[in-house]
Order: sequence, then C-alpha cells, then structure tokens
Amino acid sequence: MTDPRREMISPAIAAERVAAGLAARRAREKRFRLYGRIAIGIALTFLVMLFASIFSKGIPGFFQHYVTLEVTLDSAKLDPVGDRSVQSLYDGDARGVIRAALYQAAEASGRSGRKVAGKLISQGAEQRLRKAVLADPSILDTTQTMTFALDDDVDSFLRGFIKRDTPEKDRRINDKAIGYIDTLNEKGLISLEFSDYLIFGSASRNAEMAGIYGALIGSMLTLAVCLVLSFPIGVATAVYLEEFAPKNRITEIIEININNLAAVPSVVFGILGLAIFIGVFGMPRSIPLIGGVVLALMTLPTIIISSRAAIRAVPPSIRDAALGVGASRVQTMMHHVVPLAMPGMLTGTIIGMAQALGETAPLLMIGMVAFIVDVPGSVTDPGTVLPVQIFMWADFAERMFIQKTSAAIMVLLAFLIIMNAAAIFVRKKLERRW
Amino acid sequence: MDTQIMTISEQTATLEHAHIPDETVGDVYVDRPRMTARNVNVFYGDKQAIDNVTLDIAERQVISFIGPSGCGKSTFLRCLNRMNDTIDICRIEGEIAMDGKNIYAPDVDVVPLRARVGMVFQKPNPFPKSIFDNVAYGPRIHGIATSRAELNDIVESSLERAGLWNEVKDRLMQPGTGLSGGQQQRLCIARAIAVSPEVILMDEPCSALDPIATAKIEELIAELSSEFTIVIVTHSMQQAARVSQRTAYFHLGKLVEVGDTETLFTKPQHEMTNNYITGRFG
Amino acid sequence: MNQIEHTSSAFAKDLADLNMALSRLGMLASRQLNACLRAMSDFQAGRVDMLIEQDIELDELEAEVNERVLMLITMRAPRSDDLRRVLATSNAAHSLERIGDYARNTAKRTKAIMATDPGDLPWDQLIEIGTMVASMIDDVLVANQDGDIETAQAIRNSDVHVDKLHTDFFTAIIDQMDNGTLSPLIGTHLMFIGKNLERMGDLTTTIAEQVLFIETGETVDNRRPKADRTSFMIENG
Repeated sequence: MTDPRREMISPAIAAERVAAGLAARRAREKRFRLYGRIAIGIALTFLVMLFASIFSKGIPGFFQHYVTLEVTLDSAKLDPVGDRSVQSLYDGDARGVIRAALYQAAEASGRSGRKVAGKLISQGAEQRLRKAVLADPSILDTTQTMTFALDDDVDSFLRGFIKRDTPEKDRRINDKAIGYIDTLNEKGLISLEFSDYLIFGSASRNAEMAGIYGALIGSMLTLAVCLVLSFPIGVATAVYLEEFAPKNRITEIIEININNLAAVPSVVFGILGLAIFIGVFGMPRSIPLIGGVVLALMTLPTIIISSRAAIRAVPPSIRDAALGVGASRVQTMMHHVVPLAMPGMLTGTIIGMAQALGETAPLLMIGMVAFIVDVPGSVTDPGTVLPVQIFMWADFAERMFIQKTSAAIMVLLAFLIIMNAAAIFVRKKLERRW
Repeated sequence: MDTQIMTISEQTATLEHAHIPDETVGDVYVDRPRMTARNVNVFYGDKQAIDNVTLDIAERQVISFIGPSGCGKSTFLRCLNRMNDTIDICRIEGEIAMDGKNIYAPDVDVVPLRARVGMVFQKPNPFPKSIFDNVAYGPRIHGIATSRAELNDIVESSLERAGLWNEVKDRLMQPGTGLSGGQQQRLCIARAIAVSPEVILMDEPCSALDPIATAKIEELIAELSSEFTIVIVTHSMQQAARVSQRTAYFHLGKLVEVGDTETLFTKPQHEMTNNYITGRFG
Repeated sequence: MNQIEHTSSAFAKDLADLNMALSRLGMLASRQLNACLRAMSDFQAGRVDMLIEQDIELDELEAEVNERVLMLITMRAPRSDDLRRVLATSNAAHSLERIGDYARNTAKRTKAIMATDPGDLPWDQLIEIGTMVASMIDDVLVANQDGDIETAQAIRNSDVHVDKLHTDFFTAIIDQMDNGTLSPLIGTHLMFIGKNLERMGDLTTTIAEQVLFIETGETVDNRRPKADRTSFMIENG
C-alpha cells in the first residue's frame, strides 16, 4: 500500500525556520507599535494644545470685576408714583441713585469728573437695582450694600489689557477714569467675582452684560424638537427597513440614499429648510421649531444607520424563539428585538444629538443669527443657539467678548462631553447578555 | 489496480447517488395521522433541499428524523410549522396538512398555526426576561389566559410538565438566562407547552447539553408523548432509539426509509439505512 | 456480508480481530476432533495425552473471544448486522469450546478402551460419524467467514445424516452388549463416544444457525429435521 500524500515539513526544520524569522517579525511589531504610539502622541499633543488655548482664554471669561457700593434707596427717586409698580420703577431714576453712590465712593466731583465716573459702571446696573427693589420692596428708604458690574473697558484695564503707559489719546480709558478706579481700588471696593452674567445674562452689545442664557434655552428647545422628531421616525424607519421592507430595487434605492444623506454637508439641510419651510410654507424664520426640523433631517440618517446596526446585532435565535411560540412579526420586533436593540439605538441617538448641538451652518441658513435679546419662551419664539451665539460674539472686538467667547466654548464642550458620557453610560447600563 | 484506502470524501462521493430509492421504503402512512405531508419539495433558490417526501406524523407518538448532515431533516421539520417562511429564498411545493387542511393554503395565518405546532431549538434560547415571563409570553399574546390566576396556573403546570417547577418555583422572577443549559432548554420546552400545542417539533434539542441534562430531557420527552405529538430531529442514533417509536431516515433530501424504531435499528429494510446506522458511511 | 468498510477504522479492526479469534478457535476445535479420529485408527498414548492437555487452549480462546465481544459492545456500540455478528460470535465460541470438551472426553475414553481391550471394535463406524462432523465443522467456519447462507442451510440439513449414523451405531452397540460380544464397560464407553460425536454435530448445526441469524436477522425455528431416535428406544421383548 503506497501512501500517496505529500511529505509534510518535519517539525525540526519548521521550528528552525520559525526561529530564524522571529527576530524580523518582532522588529516589525515593535516598529508598528512605535508608529502607533507616535500617532497617538501627535494627536494628544494637538488635543492638549487645543484645550490649553481654550482654557487659558476661557476661564477668565467666567469672572468679571464688580464694584461694591453703599446705595441709599430713596423711594422718592426710585418709585415716583409710590405704588412700587414696574412702570413706576421704570420711570424712576435708578441710574441717578446708583450714580450718587458711585460719585461718593470714587470721590468724583465736578461735571466732567462725574461724567467720566458715570461711565465706569455697567448699564445693566440700573436693571439690577430695579429687580432688587421689585423683589423686596422693603429695602426702599434704606441704605443697602450692593454689587454692580463694571464697564468692560474698566474690566479690561483692571486685567491689564489696557495699559497705563499707552498715550492717553490711544486709550479707551482716560487718566481721570484711571484715577477714580485707583481710588475705588484703594478703598477695596473692586473685586473679581464669578460672573453671573455669563450664564444667566442674555445676548447684549455690552460685553459685561452679555451672557449665553438665551442661547442655552434656544439650544435646548431646538434639540428637544430635533429629538422628538428624529428618534421615533429614525427608529421606525430602521425597524421597517430591517424587518418589513421587501427585498426589491426600491428598497435598495432607499437604503443607498439614506446612507448617502449621512455624508451630505449640513449646510445643505439649512438651504432645504430655508427653501421649503420658510419659502414655501411661509413659516417664520429663526424659531427653534424650524431649527429642530432642519437638525432632525440631518440627524435622521445617523440614527437610522446606528439603529439598523443595533437591530442586526440582536441574535436570530431570539427572533426564532418568538416566532416559534406564535408571535407575529410586529410582536417579535416590538416585544423582543427593539428592546434588545434599544441600548444601541439610544447610543446612536445621543451621539446624533451631540452632533446636532454643535451645528452652526444650517441654523445660520434659516436665520437663527438675528440679534435676539429675549429668551425664547416656546418653540415658536425667535431664538438662537449656543454655537451661533459663539459665532456672533467672535465678531466683536472687545477683549471681554473674546474671553466670554472662549468661556462659552467651554460650556458647549462641557455639554458635548456630558452627552457623550451619557451615551456610554446608557450603553453600559442597558447592555444585556443573551 | 493496487488497493488504495479511499478517503471518506471519496467513499461518500462514490456512494452518494448510488442507491437512493425512488420510493420510500417502509410504512409511510399511519391510521390516524396528526399531520400529513404529501409530495413535498423544498428549494433554496435553485438548490433542492427536500425531494418528493411523503410522510404521515402519527398522533401522540414520537417520530425521530435521522440522517447525515445536510440531508434535509431540519429543513423538513421547519416546514411543519412554516418557520421556513422567514427565509426569503425558500420555496415549498406540495402539501402539508393538519386536520385535513393544507397549512400552506394562502388563507392560513401562521400565528395560530405556530401556537398549535410548537418548536424547541437546538441552542436553548430563552427570552432575556424572567422565568415567569418566558413561559407566560405565549399565553399572553394569544389571549389564552383569561385572568391572572389562570395565567399563573398555566405557568405552573407548564413548568411542572417540563420538569422544572421544583427547581425554579422560588425564583420565578429571576432572569431565564441565569439558568444552566439543561434548565434553559427545559424552560424553552415549558414555553412551548404553555400555549397548549398539539404537536411539538424539536430540532436537535440535546446537542448543546451534557449527558445528564440530555438524559433528563429524553425522560421528559417520553412523558410528554402521552399528551403531545412529538417530532424530533437528532444526530444521535442512540437518542432516536431511546426516545422514539417511529424513525425516518433522510438522505440528500429524500426519505429513504421510515418504520418502527425497533425494527429500523435492528433489521432495516434498505441497504442505505443499514449502512448509515452501522457507521459505514455518512 | 457487507462489503463496505466501516468509517471508523478502529471498529473495522476490532471486528476483524474478533473474527480472527473465532477462526483460530474453530481451527483448534477441528484439529482436536481430527486428532481424536486418528487416535481411533492409530492409537498413540503420547499424542492422546497432548490432545487432552491442549483443551486448555480452547478454554483460553473462548475467554478471549468473550472479552473482545464485551469490549466491542462497550466501545463501538454496534448495531444491526454488526451487533448480530458480535452476539453470534460469542454463541459460536461457546459451541466450539463445547466441541473441544467433547473431543477431550472422547480422547479420555478412547485411551481407557485401548488400555483395557483393544480388540475388534466398531471404530470404523465412529470414524465415519466423526469425519462427517469434522467436515461440517470446517464448512461452517468457512460459511461464517463468507456469510454463506446456502452452505449454512446445507450443514443444518445434513445433521440428519449424523443422527441416523448415530442411531445405527447405538443399536449395534446395544445388540452387541445384549449378546455378550461386548463388555458393558467398553460398550458404555463406546456409546458415550458416539453420543459425543453426535452432540458435536448438533453444536455445529447451532453454529450454522448463528450464521443464518447474522445474515438474515431471523431466529431460525427449532424444527430442524431430526433423526436421532435413540431417546425413544424402548426395550424389545
């Protein structure tokens, strides 16, 4: 009996050859790992540089300078009508009351002196005083210690961006003003506090009063509209495409188009929104409702694609088990497959929302760039979103705006990180082993 | 020609198409069948998986399907509860009837059919829900239980019949996936029983289990056969011999022989059956 | 006999080894019988003693066959014709061992007769019976190897001739003892020898029936042709 099989290479020879090639293989691996580390190093370096620049500019933006004054709240001046109504307070002279306190503290005298001194304090000071009196009318006709924000030029000077040595005609603050500032400083009345304007103030042309509150609310409303639209539609579409769609040409075309939509530049969706919703339907510009719809269109492909992947990841044994016990296809999907796919779907949705939060271009197209002072109360009130607000602030030259812009970027980044962390948390929490 | 040892593949290739009979050997028909199959052909696209199979499934009896891998026994099993509907390229010709009505008729709804013909799969696949919810799912969606009390009864009696009640009665709310392999499979059997089926199909139910779990399930099958008609696909001839009263031998999509289990394993009528059960090829 | 090889080569080898053991046992039994017959025509005490001793070999071989059978059933789980062959082999080994026992007994008695009175005894008749049985044994061993149903059937049918010869021999011995030509002791020895040979024929027929069982799966009925009338003999007048 002849053995027709070929000879195998003997173990001894094979071992020799393996040993011979081992050094080169190990060297290749070491090099590969080195390249990997270098790549990571480069990426990390850029990341560190980015964060360093943002933090270094942004953290100061969370603080601003305030002045503490003893204010005599003369009710005759503040509340001329005497009924403590809003109208009356508005007609009253809150500004004068504040200025009186300021002149005293800064030892400002004379007409020109007082004119200069008056400009030291923020225009928002009188609003603050009015709000305080409205909140607690009992403080009228008393003397209270109150803190008011300083004008942004003063703030810049105090931070050292406006220098004393610069010739006076080139400075935004004249020498007299500097004198008053020094007086106030010697008295210890000027302090650097956490800025409550940044978070709770609305958009304003005055840098010291500017804040992101309106933009934050606008972002939340827009995202809410986006979520309410894109999640159910996206999940339903994914379920339909995975389970119920017939495998024909039309379905293929739909799938190709959805996949392509994920790669379309976001500004195109803005143009779509502009043309259809605003142009054809005549809906108002710059409202979170339209913004949400546009963002929903943009996020849908992401949600559909990740939901389909999540559905496909559910093992067919679960489907078989459900069908075998007599569940209909819809019951199988809704009772078994979708709940098991939900972690993946939610993760995809949260990531899609995080992307939508940072979108600027499409919202610019539909006009959420107008200067909005009021905080939007509902989805049909005009509003803006945080990235657009940042974009607008970046235009202004004042030093404080630069700092507040970076601070706002930090807030935006914080939200993005929180949302992505939420995605990971949801995924880990709901992950099921089958 | 000098004698050569033929490799398994060479042996199989030589013998594959050699002697498959045109007509099934043995007694294909029974007196009171629960289900009947007449001239069934199944195609996956162009490939034929089942070739003109005619067979009766007798009431309250266990029939086992044996045969080499790829012979079509699982495919034929899945035809009996229309599970092959989920595969798009699968095409079925012929008639499979229950109580005289063709289950492939266009007006037949598969949902109630699968409540009458239940299935247990090769790898235990309990839902990722509690033990109670696993068993209660079927009765719930079909509306079999009219009250919570009735549902509890159904769950208890199903788990009892599946030989699992004593082991899980104190932890019905714990996840079904936390049980051992053998227990999970019994849970799947309980789940199938809970909708009061008439026929239970089992596709190699013990192949993923250890010998003791296997023995328990075989014992269970013997008990269940007094109430249910059971069709079991198995790779183990020992199992077929232990568990079934009738055995059907499939090869390359054809039903070669069917008969009384005792006779088929001691004195099979067809040469191919004998070769298979003595391990001469396949 | 199934020509197709077992997929498991270990199984095939075990079966082949079992068959080999049975064949050796068969050849030994056949040799013992032939040695007996030779002793009847050409008695040599030394050879007869050797025959008696060699019976142990048959016992050992039967034990070996039984052990192989046990191992095969445990390890290979034989089914259908394989299982029948294995069980039948165990049965056949037992029969062959009994044949060996009868040959030993025959040799002892032959030695006893030769020691007492080697006179004119009807050895020819006995040799005739024994030769027929010996050829039956050889035939049945071949039939077992080849799965030859026809030969097995023929052997089964030919047992009738052995019985007839034995009946004639029995009658002759009785007559000779009646009329005093033969001493009761010698006569009894001779009768036992005749009976031994007849039993060997029966046992060979049993082996043939096993061959039929292996090949057809049917247990043959016991109504084979019997012609041994010795059990029915009554005193005449």
